[in-house]
Amino acid sequence: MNLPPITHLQFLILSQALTDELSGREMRERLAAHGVRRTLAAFYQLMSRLEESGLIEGRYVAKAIKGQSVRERRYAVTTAGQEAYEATCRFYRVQVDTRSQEARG
Amino acid sequence: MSARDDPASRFAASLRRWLPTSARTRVFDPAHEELRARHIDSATGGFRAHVDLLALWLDCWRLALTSRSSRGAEQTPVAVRHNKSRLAPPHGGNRPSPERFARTNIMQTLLNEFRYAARALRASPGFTAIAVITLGIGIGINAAIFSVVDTFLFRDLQGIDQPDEIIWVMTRTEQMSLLLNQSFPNYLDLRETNQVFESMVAYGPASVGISREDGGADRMMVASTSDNFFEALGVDAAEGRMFTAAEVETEGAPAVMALSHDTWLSRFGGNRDLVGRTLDVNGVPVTLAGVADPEFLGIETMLGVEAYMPTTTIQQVSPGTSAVGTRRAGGFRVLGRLADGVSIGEAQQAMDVLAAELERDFPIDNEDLAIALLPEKQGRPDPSVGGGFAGIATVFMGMVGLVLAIACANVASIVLARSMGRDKEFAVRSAIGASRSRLFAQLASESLILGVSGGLVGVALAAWGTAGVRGIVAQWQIGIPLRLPISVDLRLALFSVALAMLSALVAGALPALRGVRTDLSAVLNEGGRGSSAGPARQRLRRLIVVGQVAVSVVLLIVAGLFIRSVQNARNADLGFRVDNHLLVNVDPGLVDYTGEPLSLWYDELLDRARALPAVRSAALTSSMPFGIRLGFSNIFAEGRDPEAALEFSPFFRVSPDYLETAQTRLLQGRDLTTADRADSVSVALVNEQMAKLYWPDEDPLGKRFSTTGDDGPWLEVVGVVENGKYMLIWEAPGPAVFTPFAQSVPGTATLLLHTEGNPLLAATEVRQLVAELDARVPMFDVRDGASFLQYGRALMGVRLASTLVTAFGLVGIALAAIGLYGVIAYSVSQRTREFGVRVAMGAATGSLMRLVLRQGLMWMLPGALLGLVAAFAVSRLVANLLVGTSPTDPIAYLGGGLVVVLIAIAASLVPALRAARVDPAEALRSE
Repeated sequence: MNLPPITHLQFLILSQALTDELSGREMRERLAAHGVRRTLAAFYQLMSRLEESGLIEGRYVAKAIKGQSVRERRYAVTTAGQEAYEATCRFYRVQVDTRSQEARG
Repeated sequence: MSARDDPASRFAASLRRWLPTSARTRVFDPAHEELRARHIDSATGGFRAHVDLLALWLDCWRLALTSRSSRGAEQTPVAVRHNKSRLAPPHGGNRPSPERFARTNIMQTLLNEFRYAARALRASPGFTAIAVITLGIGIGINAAIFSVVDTFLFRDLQGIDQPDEIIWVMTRTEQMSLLLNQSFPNYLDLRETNQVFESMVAYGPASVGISREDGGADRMMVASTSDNFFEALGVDAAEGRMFTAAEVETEGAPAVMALSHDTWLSRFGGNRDLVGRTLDVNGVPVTLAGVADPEFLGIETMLGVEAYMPTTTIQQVSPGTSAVGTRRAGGFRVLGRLADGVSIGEAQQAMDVLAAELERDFPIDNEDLAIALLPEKQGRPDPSVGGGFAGIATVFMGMVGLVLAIACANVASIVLARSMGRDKEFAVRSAIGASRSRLFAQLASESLILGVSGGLVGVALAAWGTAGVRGIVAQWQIGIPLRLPISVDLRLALFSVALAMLSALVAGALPALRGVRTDLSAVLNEGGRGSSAGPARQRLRRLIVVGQVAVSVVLLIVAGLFIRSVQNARNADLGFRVDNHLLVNVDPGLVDYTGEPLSLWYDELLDRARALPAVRSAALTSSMPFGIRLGFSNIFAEGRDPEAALEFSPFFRVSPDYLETAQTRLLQGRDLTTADRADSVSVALVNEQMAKLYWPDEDPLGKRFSTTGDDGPWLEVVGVVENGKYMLIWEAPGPAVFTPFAQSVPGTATLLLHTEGNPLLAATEVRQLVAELDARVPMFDVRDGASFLQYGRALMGVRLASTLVTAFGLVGIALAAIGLYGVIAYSVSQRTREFGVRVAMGAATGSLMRLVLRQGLMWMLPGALLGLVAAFAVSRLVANLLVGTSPTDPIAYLGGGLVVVLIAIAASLVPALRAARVDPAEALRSE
């Protein structure tokens, strides 16, 4: 079985946005909770690469904060992203199962 | 302040331009939006926001430069290891290659030179401060003015697709130099039949009243748009949606509107729940379909359109004013997007043919129809007077260019002066092995540091200056919402920094270097007396001062001409006086008042206003002179050749007592009275000029004229009033007509109140009064007469020009004074020994002072004379911007000359006092 096509960090990002569309700010907060800290620019570069590879999809949404308009980049996982996420899960599951079977018998 | 017009956003936009393209949209934009949200949320802004943005920008660069290696961070661990092993140098170790070593060496040398230059500048804080501030002023003033010019002339329209392809399609008239709008039916025909435009859109400004929650109503500036407006321009919705085909094409379709993003935020607090709900507009329920993209700020540079409605909706909410079905009426701005491969010349030829066809098909409405095409940028700020701004912009850019020239000359002069005292330093450096190129590198480094520091000061001053210009424009009250999205232009700031560095280098450092003697013993033997190369450099400095004084004289004289213009404009006889008046605009027509009820509403308003204790007299008028609603009419005199009809004469509908309230003198006949009602004989007052033009040797009273044609209906002249100014402060006397308000009641009017004491104190009572009469009626532009004149259309242009030009003149002369002071002070310091000897020989203090002062004046004189001649030529260029002032106005010339003489005396005074106080023993001992 081939290695997963994504890194641990990319896996983490995909797992966060699997069910909900998240803003960049929310995503950064969730990553920080897992000890992943990136500068603003580094984070958005990371996200833009995920977008380029078709794993996530970003769009701007306008919202008002204290009467002022801001645009927020929100991210959702694409079908390709979901497949990459599931492929990674499968990979590790197979590894774990194989090791367990070997240990048992 | 609009959402995208805050200093931090402007700073972000400037930084963004200086990033690699890929980093702008992918990294900087989303990160900036998040930063912005965070700053708004935590109410931190200002300095903190700027610092964060700068850090983000630097981080973007870091990532862009290291992206190859950092790309590994998002690859699988295996891939990263593989890449690392591939990138490792084959020979191992950290030793750099010979090329890299040489590069490092040069960088190290340059760095050392910079450190040395920085130390040298720090050792002369006075010199450094003057040079940096001088450059900063020159660069700042240039960047600020260019930013304004850039906004009007060069910057692309925001928020629409391919703005370069947009062309104004205007109507040209033979009688007027102005370009006019199109009628909606003509627009539809042109759009249908032309082959040269990919798409054509139209919009017409209109006013509507929008109900507030408290039951009152606000007036709102809307654009009545053609069905394809947003689609053809490529404007998206930020919230909700723009209009559907059914809404814009079907007569009687449900009324819809879209808000501009700024209006959504400022008037409705960015409330998303409003989208899809109905608002009460002119008493008609209108659905708010969506909010336009924040980038889209409208088409016209200064016109702040607040909302958009399709023409089908405007016909419902404002049936009397839409003029959609009238071919004779203009009122619609038309824009076209050129089809692929079509030039503007080809489009013009096609439009000429179509205009001829339209004239043939509708000869009465389209008589002499001609279409004029104008690239969108050339139609700024208003396509009707397209191209007019370019001339003014050239004059202003020329003037700020002169200020920058003075600033650069100053820096060159002080760099030169400084170099005179540095012979010993250069000789020592040379003696221990420094080559000329190293000395040059040092001077170049100093120039670079000065230029960059001056540039930073300049950008800060420019930001302050543009805020000042925005402040001036914010004070303008011309009856329509204005916006001025100017921000500091970083490109120009960088260009100015480069120019300043170059001038410091070319005019200062190079001659300094050429005169440097590297013979150490000769320099040391001369002691502290300066070098023999001094006179040549001193001559160069004097030459620079001559140039500076000449340029300052030009600036001062031009500033003097503008100041005289403003004085003349203020003192001009306007034909009305509103010194102690309150002006209140009301719009009952927006809430369904027409005919008899409208007339009764105005009567009631006027009666109650007259009864207010502070009011001496009150009147209603369809518009004040210089007002945005000023009406025009053609005038056909009875029994005269219709070809001789007066075109576009100002036309006012005024109530009785208008003449008394506006203090306009009645020269002949009678005033309008309450007896001049709708059902009585149509009468009019005319001004002196009209009487003179039509009935030069006859009594104008009882004569008749028409505003529609040579066959009536007729208006009888019952009185003649004094001439006035109606559109422009510098206009020549022209005809004007005043008809009874009651005989043709306008939907919108100005209530003019002559008050006792401060007029603004009566404003609250008038507000209450209007609310009591009908709270739905929008009341707007409430102001006193003084601000109407100061900040209205009457004086705004002249005032702005005068303020800016005077500022340029004062900055220029201040810089020149610094230059002159530097040269004279240096000359005095060089002659300390001579003055010591003179004092020892018994010279009086006064005679020494006179000597220095005379020297200052003698150095200033050639510059002043040169400046006078140059001003004579330059003032012709601004002649058409002056009001009642000749370009050779002797007072401006005398004033400019006098200021320069006084400045020369002031600049020479301190060195003269220093010369007079020389202690002979001290002076001789120091040698």
